[in-house]
Order: sequence, then C-alpha cells, then structure tokens
Amino acid sequence: MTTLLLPLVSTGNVPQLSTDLLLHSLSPRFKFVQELTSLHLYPFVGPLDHVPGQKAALYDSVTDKRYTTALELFYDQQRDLYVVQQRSPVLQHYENNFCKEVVAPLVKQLRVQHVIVLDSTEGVEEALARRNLPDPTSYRYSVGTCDLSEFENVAQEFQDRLHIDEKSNTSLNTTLFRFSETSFQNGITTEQFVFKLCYHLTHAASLHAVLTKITYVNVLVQEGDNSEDAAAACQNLHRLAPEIPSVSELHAPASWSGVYGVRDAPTAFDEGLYI
Amino acid sequence: MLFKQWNNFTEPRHHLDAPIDERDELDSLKIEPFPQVSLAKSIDFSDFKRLIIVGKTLEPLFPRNLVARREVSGFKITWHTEINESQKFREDFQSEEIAGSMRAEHTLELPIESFGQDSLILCIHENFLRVSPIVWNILGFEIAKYCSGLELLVLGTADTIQEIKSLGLPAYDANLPTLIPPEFITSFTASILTQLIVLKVPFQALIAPSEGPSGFEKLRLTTMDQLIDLCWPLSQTHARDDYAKACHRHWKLNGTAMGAQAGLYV
Repeated sequence: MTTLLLPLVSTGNVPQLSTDLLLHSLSPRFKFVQELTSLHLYPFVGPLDHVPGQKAALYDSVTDKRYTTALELFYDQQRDLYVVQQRSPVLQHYENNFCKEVVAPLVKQLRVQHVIVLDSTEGVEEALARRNLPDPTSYRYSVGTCDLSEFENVAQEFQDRLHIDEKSNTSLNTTLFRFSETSFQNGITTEQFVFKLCYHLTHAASLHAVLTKITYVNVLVQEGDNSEDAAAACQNLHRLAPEIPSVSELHAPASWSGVYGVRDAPTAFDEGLYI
Repeated sequence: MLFKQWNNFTEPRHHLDAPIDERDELDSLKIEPFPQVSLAKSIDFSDFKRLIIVGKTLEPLFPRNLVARREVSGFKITWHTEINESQKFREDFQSEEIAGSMRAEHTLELPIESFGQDSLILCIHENFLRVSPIVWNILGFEIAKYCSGLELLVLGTADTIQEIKSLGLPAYDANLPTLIPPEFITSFTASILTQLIVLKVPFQALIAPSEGPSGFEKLRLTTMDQLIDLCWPLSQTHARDDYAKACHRHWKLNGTAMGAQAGLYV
C-alpha cells in the first residue's frame, strides 16, 4: 500500500522535528525525490541538511541539488512510503489552495492509498476531550482513522458525517475520524487544518478510486523546546501507524543547532531584565 | 512632562500573519485567488544579458547619479484583501468600532530599468506590513517564467547569517562562503530563489547579513564596504572611488545605515 506521511506545521513544530528525526536517522533508506510547489508557503531557502559530521546522505541520489526549499518529497522504497517535509507554514488564507492544488494532485500523481497526517496541539476543545481515560497524563497521542473504502458516495458521506455541533462557538465534528480507545480526543474542529485537508481529499473526484484511508495522529505538547517531544513522537510513530518504520537510534540534523538560539535560557532576573 | 506613548501595538518577531488582512473565517473552505502579475509593456528580454533583482536595502549599490537607469517596463501586481476596520487602527487611535469588513484592492508597480550595455535591474520594496509574501512568491514564479533566458543575479539580505554568502550554480563568487546549516533565508529573496530552484532556472545570488524586519533592514559599514567591492563590476561605472562615495551617500539617505538614525546602534 502506497503511503504518504504529511507533517502539519503546528504547536512546537513537533511534526517537522519528528519528520527530521525520521528522515535523518534512516537516511540510508530515504531518498530525496523532488521539490514540491512552494507558492502557498512562507518563503524558505536553506542549505542541504545533514547529520553533523556526515555528508548530506538524503540527497545522494541527485547531483545538482545544493539548496533545500520549503516543501520537499522523500521516498522509502522498502516500505513504499513517501514523506513530505514542510519547513515553513502555509500562508494565511491559502490553506485550502494548498490542500487542493498541492496535496490532492500529489496523492493522485503518486497513487497514494493511505495518507497519514501528523499534527501537534497544546490541548483540545473541552467538548472533544476524553474524560474517562484511566490515566490521562500517560496518553499523549491521539490516533483517528477515516476509512474511505466504507464510503459509497464520498462527498455525500462527508456531508453526512459532518454532524457539526451548532450549539458550540467552534464547530466540532466527532464522526469523520474514529479515534482509538487511548486517544485524548474524540473529534476535531472545522477550524483545524486536517478538516480542510480531508474535505479537499474527499472532494477531489480523481482520488475516489485511489485513496482509501486517512489516519490522523495528534501529539499533545507544550510550547517551548520541543526536541524531546519530537524524539518521543518519532519513536512512537511506528506503534501509532505501522506503515512508518521504527527508529532505534535518533540522529538530529545540523539545522537543529539554530532552532532555539545559541544562548542558554536566562535564569536570573535583575531590575526587570532577564540576564 | 507627559510623554505620549506613540504606539501601543508592537508586532512580535514570530508573528507571521500579515496584519493587513484581518479575516476571521478560520473554518472557510474557499479557494483564495492568487495575486495577478502582468508586464506593464511588452519587452524583449533577449535584448539583454543580465537581470539584477535587488531589495530596497541594497539598492544604494546602483546609485542613480552614476548608474543611468532607464525604465523599460515593469511588473504590475494586483491583489485583494479584506480589512476589518475595527482592528485596522488597533489601539493607536480611539476610533469608533466599525463592524464588518471592507474589501480592498491593492496594486504594486515595480519598474524594470535598463542600465549599462546589457543589464536590467528590478528593485523590490518589501513591506511586510502591507504586502503579503504570496505577492513575492507569485512574482518569483513569473520572473522564472519570463526571464529564464537571462543571467539572473539576486541581491538580498538575511538576519540569520553573519557574513556575505554566495549562492548559485556556479556560485557568484567562489571565494565567498555559502550557506551552512542552520543558516537559512526568508523574505522576498527566498521567494524568488525558491521559484528559480523549483523550476530549475540557473541563478546566482549574494546574501548580505542585516538586522531588522523584512524591508526595513539595516546594514553594517563593513558589510557595505564589502558589497561595494563585489558590486562595482556590475554597476559598469568607471571610477571606483566615485562609485564607493555615491554608494555610501545613498546608503545613508536610504535609511539603511546602522547607527545613522535609530540612536540604538551607535
């Protein structure tokens, strides 16, 4: 089954950092495929990233590549797994364009049957939070699946499954994804990027015969240095979505050295200034 | 003595959304139209050898009193925004709250000028408060489409580097360092370079270290002196001393000299 992993730019950049760890820790099996259209994203150009002390192994397969852009595609032939790395956020108001004009055509072009969306959040709407978890602190991951093969008329089923709660200020949906027992949430809101993505993937007529499943993996994190959250998420990805290979030894790329600044966080407070 | 606070609202450095567009429709499923880019008048790019794309911060490297620039065409970019009037003025004025939003059309004209024997120059005046990065992304796409037959040289700035970087295949100057992780480029420079990279259009670029928000950066004296050495051959002017003097003068007039105006950098 051809699978595509799509990390969303979200709280603490945990999906991006986890994808970095996945790609660079398993760089012998992942290979760069191509740059994707970055028109809808904040501009970004950087050098080829690599694990410190090693060459840029991810880009071995291309000879003339010298710079990375905001959106790139990698492939693991062993698992028939495509991975998108998105290095900057989608521009304000262009989220729908991005889903319809970049992701949907990519899914069609690669004949992807299963899309895994990796997201992170500081918390979920009160109405969506699961309250009966045995130990809420130990459940940091939500996994929801949307089985499109169950849909006969995808667009109609999508409409039927919306069941938006009109009493709430935020529109909530608890039927599109079926969340696992241990998930910390039981639905999504219509303001979330994943909702727009599902809408455009299910409404692209050309994908009806191809795409069969969308899996939504959400990680509970807090703002700040999220490198450890990313490491934990990367090591749990295989358990949450078996299509993703397991990573035994994590290697962070050189670009991480600039993520949180070059100085230690200030600890002293003197006359109103952190020093 | 009463000191009046001149601006209560300070834009945080991590704030990405352009403050010009205040729509709150977070759950909208509508497709947004792209900005429209057109050439003001047709131009035969094959008459020229090189196109230099330069940001406002580095425009003093092509001083008008020495480099005779003549407008030959221009890019005209049009886009729409919706402004929520009650938020437009934020706390600067105690204006009346006006409900509803207002659709506004914006047009930006960027002249393409010729100079010297065979060169074109396109100067980009970036302003993150008024112009969304989508405009520069689309402009980059059009430049890659229209100008791929020219030698393209992009002169930009970045606050994430410490020294002048040379990019391209081959690099503009092999003696200068190139980007190494975790360095990266954003702003219009990255918009244009991204489209050139994605569409496999050959380019060269010089990126200078700067400080300040996009479009309002300031340059150090040492950086400016180094840029003058690098750009003198491009300017196609004769006397190097006159060129250096004119560059310094325009750099200060342009408001991009560090320490010249702010009072913070001395």
